[in-house]
Amino acid sequence: MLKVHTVCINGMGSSLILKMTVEKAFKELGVAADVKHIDAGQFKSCHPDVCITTPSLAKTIGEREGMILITTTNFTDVKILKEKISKALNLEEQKG
Amino acid sequence: MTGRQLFDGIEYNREQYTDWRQVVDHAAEFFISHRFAEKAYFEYVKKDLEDNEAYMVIVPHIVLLHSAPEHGALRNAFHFMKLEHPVNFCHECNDPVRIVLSFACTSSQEHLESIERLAAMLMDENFVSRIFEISSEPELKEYLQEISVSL
Repeated sequence: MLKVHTVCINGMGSSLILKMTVEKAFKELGVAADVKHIDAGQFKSCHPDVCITTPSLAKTIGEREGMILITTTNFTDVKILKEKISKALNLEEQKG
Repeated sequence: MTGRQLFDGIEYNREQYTDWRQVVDHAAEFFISHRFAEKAYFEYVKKDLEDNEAYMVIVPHIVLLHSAPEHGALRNAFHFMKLEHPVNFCHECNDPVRIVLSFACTSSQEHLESIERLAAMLMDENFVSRIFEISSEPELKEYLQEISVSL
């Protein structure tokens, strides 16, 4: 099971909406994922497999070894997130 | 809680704002006058928007104004405002903003349920395109109330 975190500044609004969209995206992709929403402060001590956030917050979070960082500017578009997740996790190649 | 009205306030706004801060201040007035949030809450909103590249514009043309409960939220409340004249929030690709959603929350189950319903609305392409078309307050209220009870 993949550990996935959606991150925003406060952890109460945007990251929560993104969590719901991301859950739907993983479900439709048929990938088991445990998705949690969290604020940027708390995230510092977290070590998920995948982190999904905005481009501006991604700059603050930075790349981490062993963590896949995905950015999005649309928090409710399941189709876009499915494409980004597939690409980041190399799902297409694995299927082929 | 399905069936209850999601929004505590619905507004069709015909003002011509020249700065996104005026939009935030106007939304703030609703929350302050109803004692849903303190003035400070929306000062945090403005600071977060300035410091984080307007990340609250979470969908093209839709901004979700919010801060943390400890920043002056007094109770759970949601507000929906449609701008007749779109305003730029300095987002890299989702400008201009036409719909301003605002909330205050005091961290509870009720808030989670409201956010879930809001997310369901925003994920529905029909809802989003319909809401962009509406051009009067009575029509906006009628549509949102109808949608609210169905979710």
